[in-house]
Amino acid sequence: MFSYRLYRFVSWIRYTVPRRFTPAGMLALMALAASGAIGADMDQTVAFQVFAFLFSLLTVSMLTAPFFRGRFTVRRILPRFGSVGQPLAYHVVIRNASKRTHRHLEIIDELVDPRPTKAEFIRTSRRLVLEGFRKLRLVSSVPLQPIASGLKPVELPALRAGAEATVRSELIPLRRGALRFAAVTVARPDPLGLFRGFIRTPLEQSVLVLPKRYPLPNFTLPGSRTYQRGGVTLASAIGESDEFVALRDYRPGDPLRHIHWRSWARHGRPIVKEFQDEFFVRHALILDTFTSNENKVAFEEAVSVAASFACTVGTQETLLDLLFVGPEAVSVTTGRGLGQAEQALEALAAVQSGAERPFSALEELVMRYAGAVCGCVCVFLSWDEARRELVRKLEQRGLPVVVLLVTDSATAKRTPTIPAAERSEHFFILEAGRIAEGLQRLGKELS
Amino acid sequence: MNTPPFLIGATLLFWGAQAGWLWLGALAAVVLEAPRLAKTRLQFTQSDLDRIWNLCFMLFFGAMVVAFVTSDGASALNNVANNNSIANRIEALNKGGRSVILVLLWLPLIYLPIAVAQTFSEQERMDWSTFSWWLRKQRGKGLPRPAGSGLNVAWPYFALCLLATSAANQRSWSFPIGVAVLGVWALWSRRSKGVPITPWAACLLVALGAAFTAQLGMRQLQVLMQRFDSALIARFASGRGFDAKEVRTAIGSVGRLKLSGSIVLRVEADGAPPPLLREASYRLFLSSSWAATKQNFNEVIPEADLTTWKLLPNKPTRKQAIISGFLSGGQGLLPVPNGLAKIEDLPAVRFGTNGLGVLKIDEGPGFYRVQSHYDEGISIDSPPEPIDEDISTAERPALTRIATELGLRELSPARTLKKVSEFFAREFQYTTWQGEPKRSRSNETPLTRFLLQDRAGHCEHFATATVLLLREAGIPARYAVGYSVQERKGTEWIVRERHAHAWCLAWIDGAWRDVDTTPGSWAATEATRATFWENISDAWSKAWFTFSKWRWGPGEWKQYVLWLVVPLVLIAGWRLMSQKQWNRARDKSSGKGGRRTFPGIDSEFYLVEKALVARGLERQPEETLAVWTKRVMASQPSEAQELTQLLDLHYRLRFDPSGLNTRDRELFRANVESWLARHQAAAPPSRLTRRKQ
Repeated sequence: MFSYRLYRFVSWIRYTVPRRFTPAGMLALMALAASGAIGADMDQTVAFQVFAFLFSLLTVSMLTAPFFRGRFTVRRILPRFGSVGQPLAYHVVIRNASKRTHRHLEIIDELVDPRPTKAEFIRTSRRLVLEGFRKLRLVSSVPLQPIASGLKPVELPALRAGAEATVRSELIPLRRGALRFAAVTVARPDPLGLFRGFIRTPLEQSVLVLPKRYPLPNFTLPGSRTYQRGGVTLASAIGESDEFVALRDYRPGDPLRHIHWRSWARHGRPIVKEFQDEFFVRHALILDTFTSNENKVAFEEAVSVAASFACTVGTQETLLDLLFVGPEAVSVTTGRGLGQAEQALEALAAVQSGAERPFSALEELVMRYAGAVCGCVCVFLSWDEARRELVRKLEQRGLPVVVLLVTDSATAKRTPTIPAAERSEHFFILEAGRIAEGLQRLGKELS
Repeated sequence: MNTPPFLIGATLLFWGAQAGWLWLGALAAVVLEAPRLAKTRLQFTQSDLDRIWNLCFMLFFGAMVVAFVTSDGASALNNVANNNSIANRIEALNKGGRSVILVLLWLPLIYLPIAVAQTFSEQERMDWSTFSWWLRKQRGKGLPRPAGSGLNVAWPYFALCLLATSAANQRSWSFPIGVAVLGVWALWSRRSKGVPITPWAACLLVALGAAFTAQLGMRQLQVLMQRFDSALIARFASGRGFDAKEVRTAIGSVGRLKLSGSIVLRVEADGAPPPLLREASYRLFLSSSWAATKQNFNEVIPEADLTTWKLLPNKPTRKQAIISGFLSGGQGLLPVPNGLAKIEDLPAVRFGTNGLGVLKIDEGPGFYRVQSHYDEGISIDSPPEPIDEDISTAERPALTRIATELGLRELSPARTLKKVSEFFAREFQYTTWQGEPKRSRSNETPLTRFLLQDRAGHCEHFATATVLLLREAGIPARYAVGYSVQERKGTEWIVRERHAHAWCLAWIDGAWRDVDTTPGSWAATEATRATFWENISDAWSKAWFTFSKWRWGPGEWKQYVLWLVVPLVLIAGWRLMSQKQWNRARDKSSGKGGRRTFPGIDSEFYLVEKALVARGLERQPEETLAVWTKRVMASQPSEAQELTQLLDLHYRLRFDPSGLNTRDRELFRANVESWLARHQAAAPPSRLTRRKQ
């Protein structure tokens, strides 16, 4: 298919050119293209002389760059997690295994090729044609989006024979899930400094990228504290009595009054206090995964919203059960020492659409937990009869339910407002792209 | 600026010297290099940078318009108002192709504002969104941005200056040498500090040698290209139009034109339009191709108004038609009806005819709309010569056979014409152009095959056969190519490429007459090639035509465009300068310099504070005004209410984005004054007393 080949070619150019050419080389390349265009009419300008000059420079550079020889061993020190949209810093340790000193080296990290396969590409583009231009950005943005940005060559200090150096590299993950690294490339510019010669060392590693989280306002989920059959074993950990227990790192959403300022001053990063308690609330966080590909943007946002709740509510006074149905029914309980918010986030990082399974699978899972929890937060992608029925069942059991309906902006504009009779008591519509605003509104109403 | 010292300055000087505006280049160089000495820096906000970029864009846009209008650079700017002579203006318009090059030459000045901003700016890089409206819109969305992204415009500006210099088109050695020197300077500055000098210099020498060879080679290539047989070019090019004197005019040239439905001519006439518009005629048939033998063109001298051309001075005419079309590069052949005597409204500089009725414009506008006066029975073509009765030996047997069959030799010229027309109408069919026929092994010519076997072909076959048959019958004839006028659209007649046609000119009763023997069905056959989007392309063609009429038409409007540009640039400049004073950055090295300013610095509450401090209620360094006031109020509860009110007003003045309205501001001032008056009356001026102590 021509368009796929074109896509592969263009993306290859866009990937390779900035890696191979130094900034000076890039400028030379652009000037070469410009002078070629201007100089085509050799009677009008003498730009062809600029063209000849740049062409020769770049050719000499490209011919001399491959003379870069050397042996290196490379190691990456990666953190366990990254987060979508947050800079992910890690270290690369490189050892010069050759017998001579190397200067002016750069390290360029390489991710696994994120481009869609031909079948995926055809599916996406066919959908584009079918669904029209209006949805183009919505549909194309997820599968064809790059997985990370900001990956730049990092300069190395001079490396003597056998010497080792550690450099800090940084990138911004753009998609949740596993971020897989493929190789580390050691590069050296040619003598003229325009083009890089490469030595590539395969080195496969991966980092789990957690979903994007939104700051949640300070609010109380509806539902009273109830006696938990788990009793003291469950309640042994963290709560909100005046009994101070420990310090831990700040997570977005922690109340500011819990910040331990002195520790912040000592460590240079925000630290919060945790308190002990013996009574607590248990909430279910229900994530709707039943969506077609078309609604992918809304789905990603729903995952983010769930992640925001998981890491905020889970660190507050409650126990949180995260319930969703991917290819498998999944439940993760966090809070109060039972599990950490990271576990919920890990689960959310890997969540996939459960479109193949019926909605009743989720209902079954939720009803299993309904006896233990004292309130539900439902993150839904649509508001149809099946979902209304689930909410009705929960409410019949006397559980307060907060419904968050996540829609993409196009759908939000298209659908008429839902009549009050069909809404549950706490019903919020969150529009993709304006989630943070919606959550603030939610905070106002629930606080 | 991250370029080495004086590199940009030297580049601008080089640009000035090459372009002939040395003083301008020197001025720009001084402006850009001055900050290196002066160390003054300004703090630009993002909106300042946006506005500066907008200004550059406006300048670029204005330059495009100016270049488009004048195409004659700075000198044209000065005298365009006085430029009344059509010939002068045409000469300027002829440089239209140079307008882009001209803008290129001005680029260093156009983008000088953004380069100056970079030079005087504290920031190392400008955000990418400065340069793109789309990215500006994305700003609020908080998309993740890697650290250190952005653009320092110094290097791109350097490259831009070098490219701009090339537009000065100085053919001496100074240009390549200058480029090489500046390029080496730039590379030297960017070279990694530890790279040994020997390989660096070696690489550079190789590159310079290669560049020298390459540009010599490119010159050679250009010369070679110019010598390249234009027939070959004509063969591969699909451009429209006929060639007046090219010897190798293949018989398929008209057919090739027929492939497209785009509109090439528009004809306005009161009555019936001229049925055929001739661009060229030929008289020598060299088996499957026609050639003109009169290759020299005689220049025609215009009348006093420079736009009227009398080709047959003393012949009265009865018919008129207005013909409009495009001339690529101001050159080409003018399609005109047979019997043309006079042309009006043609602002050409060089215009000639070759005795075969071909009108050739060598220097003219890119678009013409001429009034043609014509009549039957007259023509500008030369009278027949023996060559107009010549028949090549290859075709002679077939022609003789048909002439004998029809008994042409015995008939009068008028009857011969009738007989030949009837013969083609009766025995032949029209087919669309199918490409070049395959060569058969026998020595049978394509025309013989057409006459004796196929009896089907397109207009070129019919025209060629008619010319040769008439010659065989003893009537001088020539082969004509041009367009047939047959489609009416609204009030005018349009001529598409599809309507390209070939026919015969026959010398009858002392004049050249059009003889078209192609069966009448050809128009309908060709019309079936119309595409379904033809209406859309017609609408576009009409719009472009209207624009061209305006663009190339007479009128003094072009000056007004200039005056339109001036206020636009002024507005952009005003917006840039007036809205906000740029903050002068604080001099970080000395630690002093510019004073800090913030809203509410003029708040009268500071007087209250001073007064209270004077009373011994010192404010501790870590205390905010609120905390301190609370402490004060604890010691002096009587003033609590008043102080709270004053503090509230002060905080609003200081931090409320909308500030205090006039009434509140006055109230605040009055309250403070009354407070001060009361307290200074109560306690004698404490500062004075302290000093005395």
